[in-house]
Amino acid sequence: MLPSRKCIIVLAIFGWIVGLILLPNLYAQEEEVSAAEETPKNNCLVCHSHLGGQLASPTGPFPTDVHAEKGLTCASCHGGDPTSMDAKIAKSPARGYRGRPSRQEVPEFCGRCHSDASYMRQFNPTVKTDEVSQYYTSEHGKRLRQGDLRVATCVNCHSVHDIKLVSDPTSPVYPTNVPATCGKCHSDTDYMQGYDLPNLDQVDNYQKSVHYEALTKEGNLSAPTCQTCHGSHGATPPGVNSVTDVCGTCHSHNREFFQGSSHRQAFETFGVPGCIQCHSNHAIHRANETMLVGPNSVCSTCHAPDDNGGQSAEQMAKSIQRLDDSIKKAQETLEQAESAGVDMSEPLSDLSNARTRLVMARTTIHTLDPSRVEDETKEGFRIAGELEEEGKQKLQELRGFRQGLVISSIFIMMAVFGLYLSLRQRERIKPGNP
Amino acid sequence: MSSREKSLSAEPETPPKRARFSLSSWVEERVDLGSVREFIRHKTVPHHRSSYWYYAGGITLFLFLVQVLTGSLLLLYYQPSESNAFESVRFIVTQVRFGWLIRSVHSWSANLLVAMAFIHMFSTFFLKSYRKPRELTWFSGMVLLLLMMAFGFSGYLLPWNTLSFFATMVGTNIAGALPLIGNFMLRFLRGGDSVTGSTLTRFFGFHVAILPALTILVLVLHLWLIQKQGMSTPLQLEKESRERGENLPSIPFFPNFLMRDMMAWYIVLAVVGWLATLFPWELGVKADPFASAPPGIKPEWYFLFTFQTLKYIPARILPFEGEVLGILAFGLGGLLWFLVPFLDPNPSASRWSRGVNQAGIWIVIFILVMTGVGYVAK
Repeated sequence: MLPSRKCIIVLAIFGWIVGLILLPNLYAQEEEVSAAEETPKNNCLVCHSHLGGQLASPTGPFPTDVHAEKGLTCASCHGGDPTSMDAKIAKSPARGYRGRPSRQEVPEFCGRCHSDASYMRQFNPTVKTDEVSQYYTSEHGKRLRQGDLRVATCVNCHSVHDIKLVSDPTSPVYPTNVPATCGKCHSDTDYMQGYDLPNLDQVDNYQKSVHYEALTKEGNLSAPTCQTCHGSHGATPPGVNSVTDVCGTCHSHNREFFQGSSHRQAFETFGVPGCIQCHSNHAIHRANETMLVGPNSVCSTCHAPDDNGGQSAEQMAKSIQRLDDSIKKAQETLEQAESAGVDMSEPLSDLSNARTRLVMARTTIHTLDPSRVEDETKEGFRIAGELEEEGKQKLQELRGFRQGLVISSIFIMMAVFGLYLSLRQRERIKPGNP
Repeated sequence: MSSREKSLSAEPETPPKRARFSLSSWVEERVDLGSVREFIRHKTVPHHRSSYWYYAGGITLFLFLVQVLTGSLLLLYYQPSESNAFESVRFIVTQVRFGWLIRSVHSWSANLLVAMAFIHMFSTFFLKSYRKPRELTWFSGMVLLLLMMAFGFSGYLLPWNTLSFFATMVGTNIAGALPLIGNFMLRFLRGGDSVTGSTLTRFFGFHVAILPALTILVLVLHLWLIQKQGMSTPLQLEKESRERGENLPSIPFFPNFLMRDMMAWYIVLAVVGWLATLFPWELGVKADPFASAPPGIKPEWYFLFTFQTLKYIPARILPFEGEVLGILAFGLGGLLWFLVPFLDPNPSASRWSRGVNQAGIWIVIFILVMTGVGYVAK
């Protein structure tokens, strides 16, 4: 009898362990089933998914739409009774059915909720509710009111039934997708016929710019895209006089220096826009001292090399070039030490202080004052010099360590050889024996 | 008689010479070292074609001493807190004279120590040195290996860099997946629900107090057993010497074997020095608990085969969680390995004993392949 009793005990313990492992999972599955049963019924999807064609198209993407994720159904926008399987009842105006809005109705259709601050607050307390009013101040909105049905409305940028949050990388208005979304119309020559736009290469040019590089290569999502300068819902091209303010939103020092310089008055007199006269508008390249002198000089467009402007440009370029060279040398030395195995993370990080001075010196160019540029470069020059010296010292130490290693290794090998000789003598063994 | 001779004969008798001070005799007067001296004089070590495996244990011990020395030096500057740990290690490697060398030696030596412990264990296994009467030596050795791995796991977190932070998170997650005790283990190791400064303080305590204390106890037992029972000799050699009717040749422990040991130690010291100087251990980037885990997080190489195998196990096997089954399988495997002296009590040329040997070969192949795959896999 005893063995069978042992078997029962072993089986009981095994069953207990299996139960402990399984029970939580079974419980979790039960919870999932009960949660799914509580979802409200949406018969619109049931019928429309069987209709095919355009009538079925919303049913595919809608379940992942941000509105569906927030618990809204088809009826939340289109009205009607989603609980009824009878199309007449479900789409009865008596049940609040609004149907599909015309293109001109779209902004107001979305605005029913998105312009209602008290309603929107439940989803996001800080959400903006002025999109529709802003939209009607834009070129798109103005033209829509005039009856132009080809201009963009909400759905052209945000899509229709698969709308995602702006923070969702699959959204057409996610920062990296914005150029392609705007370019859908603005790069299409046929579509844009009749709008009298000077050119349609904005997106192509933007994609060559330093802003696009920051957005895509550096992954800087706050880098400017189309809507940063033109506005999103209130999209309008900035006028000649407001260009400086638009760029100055981010480049505040440049704006301040430019507005305090003699260029401001001169540009106003000739009626040329501030920043884009030298930097262009969409194809903005990385600004450096090559814009001052040499074959790519923008100063030489208006100034001769020997006039005051040309001379100042040359002096400023020299100061900045000297600092740039000094930073590169320091960087090279520190990286050399780093690749040799010395931790140079701190001095390499400190080098960014010198780089900040370089950026500031380049910004100070907008004052057109070579002495102010020189003052900015002096501090950067000092920082870069000290760090380069630190890197050289570390490399020198490293050479010392390696020499020490070779010498100590020689001593160690001598000790090993001495022990070997002593053992050989003691045991009188042949060399090579264990 | 010359005046000089006169003066010499007139010299008073020279006083008795003061006895030369001798430390050994000073100690001898107080403690009887005779038995120790006798033991050293008569202790011999077998000398045969496989005796080079004996040095693996000695090298492991030497590397442990290097760890104790360099670890004590690092303790002078290391600060075990979430805000200061990384900065203090950076201070050691950038500001403290030879600090980078000490830290690098500590890291390299730790890895070589675990590698040598594995080599020592497998050589013991394949030479079947665990057989009677050395079962306790095998058990204490296995406990020491586990302690060394625990040293590695706890020490890895101490620099508080991104890699160590997320590797600890993954490692403790694996412990947390254990049935019944998983949740307790996870919280016990982390000192909370997630890896935080409390985990760091706790791991520091394990690394510098609890584990060293346990290691010293088990190490003393291990060494005492070795001295008491002497070195094991391979079965084949024992058989050959029996057939010839003569004893296996041996050499005196002191100084012959010790001198050979020292040669090995010197060479290992040079290797560690070269590795530490030419490939200094990286410090990495300070851990950010709020950042997402970087891709390709892997544990230390000696946990890699376990980690990689668990990745290949399906999420569910019948009604069971794959990871739990995998961990239980590794636990069972480890237990069987630990109990090998009982599973193979009479090693000989028998089929069973050969089977145990073959299982060992497959385990080595499995560990090597999975570690290699773990390194290559992304």
